[in-house]
Amino acid sequence: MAVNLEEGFSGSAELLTNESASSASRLRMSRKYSGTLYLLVSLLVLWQIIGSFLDPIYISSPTLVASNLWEMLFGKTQIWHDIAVSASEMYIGLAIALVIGSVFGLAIGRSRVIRGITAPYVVFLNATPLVITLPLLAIWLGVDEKARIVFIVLLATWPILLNVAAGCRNVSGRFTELGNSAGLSRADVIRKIIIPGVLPYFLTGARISAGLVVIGMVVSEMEVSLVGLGYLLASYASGFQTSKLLAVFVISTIFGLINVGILSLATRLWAPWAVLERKER
Amino acid sequence: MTQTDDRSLLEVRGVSKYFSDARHNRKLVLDDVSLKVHKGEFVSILGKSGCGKTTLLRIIDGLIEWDDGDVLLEDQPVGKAQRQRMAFVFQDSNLLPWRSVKRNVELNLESLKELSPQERSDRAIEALRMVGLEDAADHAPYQLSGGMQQRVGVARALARQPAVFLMDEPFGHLDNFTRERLQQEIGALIERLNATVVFVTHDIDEAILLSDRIVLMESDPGRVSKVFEVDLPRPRWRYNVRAHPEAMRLREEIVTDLHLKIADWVQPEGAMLNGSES
Repeated sequence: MAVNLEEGFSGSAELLTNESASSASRLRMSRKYSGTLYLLVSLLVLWQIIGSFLDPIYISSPTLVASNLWEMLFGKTQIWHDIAVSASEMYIGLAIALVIGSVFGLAIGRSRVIRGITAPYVVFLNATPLVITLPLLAIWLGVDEKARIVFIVLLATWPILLNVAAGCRNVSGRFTELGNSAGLSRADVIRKIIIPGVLPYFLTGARISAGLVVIGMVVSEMEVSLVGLGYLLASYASGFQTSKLLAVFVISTIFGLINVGILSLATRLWAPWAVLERKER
Repeated sequence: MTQTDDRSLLEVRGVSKYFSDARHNRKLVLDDVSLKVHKGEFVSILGKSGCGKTTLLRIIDGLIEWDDGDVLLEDQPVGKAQRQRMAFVFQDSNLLPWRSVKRNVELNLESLKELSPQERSDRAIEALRMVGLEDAADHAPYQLSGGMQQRVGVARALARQPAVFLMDEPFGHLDNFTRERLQQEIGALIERLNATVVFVTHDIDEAILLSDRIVLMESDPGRVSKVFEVDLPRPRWRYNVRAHPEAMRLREEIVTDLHLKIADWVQPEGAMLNGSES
């Protein structure tokens, strides 16, 4: 789903930036979209049919999920508080991860010494299933949002850090001599060449992280929380309330789609050359 | 041949350079290279790849350190002030994809504090006009063909109005037709400006077409093998130069040196060399 959305966004980027985009490409795009839409409708219909023959505990049905969703958002038992808690953890965690990832990514990308010292740890931590830190974080920080935010930060920092570091090395290799030859100072090389050059890599990392923070939010709330979407998921699951479970699942997915969508949009607005260079390849 | 005066504008005096490999073995890549370039002169550094010709150019521009010898611009050892008066044209056009064509040209002027933004802009437009790209000033680099991108690379150097142009195989990555066209056009432009150029290439015909002097380099370690004066009238045109007896003689001489002496090619039994049995 997320991949599909991204494709859709870069497709429309072509339409916006390439003024000579012909009606043929517009037609191609509408065909692509209509295919996706047909598939979605077919799957929903199939789900509804199969669901109507089974106990709703198993797979529920689209109409049941929709009515539960409506109830949760606008009915008597609203879950806006849980949504707000989840969203705030997620976005605070993402913001911290963006800062930490960029700073360390730049340091690792710029300095061979720092890269040499930290490389084994980066590989180790990136390869570790970070879920194992959750019980530890709960012991250290208690069962509250601090532990969950730290976990989200742990999860979301890596894609940004690794992408920024790789981008920094790539851009330095390509353009540092140009800056030096132009007589730019070190500060100007960083300001005028490294930072704008790293921006698309940063946005790529951020897009991956924006998906990961949803996972981090759900997982940490399932384990160490008494509020939030993850907690609701866990409690509905243990109560076999499949329709409500899936309604919360839909809300979580919408968060993921919004996050990835915003960052795809940001890439198109702030680094259109990266979108177009990627298309060329 | 263009007018030269006795004092050299740029001088490379006994420059040596070592590279270290992964095991920290030092390898001599440039061995006691000396070179004089006079004002208004076009000097090509010709050699096969790996002979250190690009390294030499980067040393002149101060992009890398060297181990021994001096680089002098107007008898002054090159420092920051001297480097401001040289401009490098890269093999890849090396345009910043997030800047427009004009802003890419301006990059080379942004360290010149005496220029106002308006002057920078004027100079960039003027340089783009010289390479025939003033209409593309606001385009993004990815909207240009490879040949046009390389023209922008040349314009970026022109805008600086440098005392010396350092060109590192600027046409090396272009297809044949584009390369020949740019050789002709940029060559004519340099002729008209009477610019001083150090030009690195591995293309013998390109060197003959453009140069006043050709410095042939041998490799392992890189050192000057032989210097050839190119005594051909200017303005030059590809089709006149190719058939010119002097150009043909020069070509034979360079090919013989390059292939038999430097690259150590094996001459087939009974093959003729330079039209006579050797």
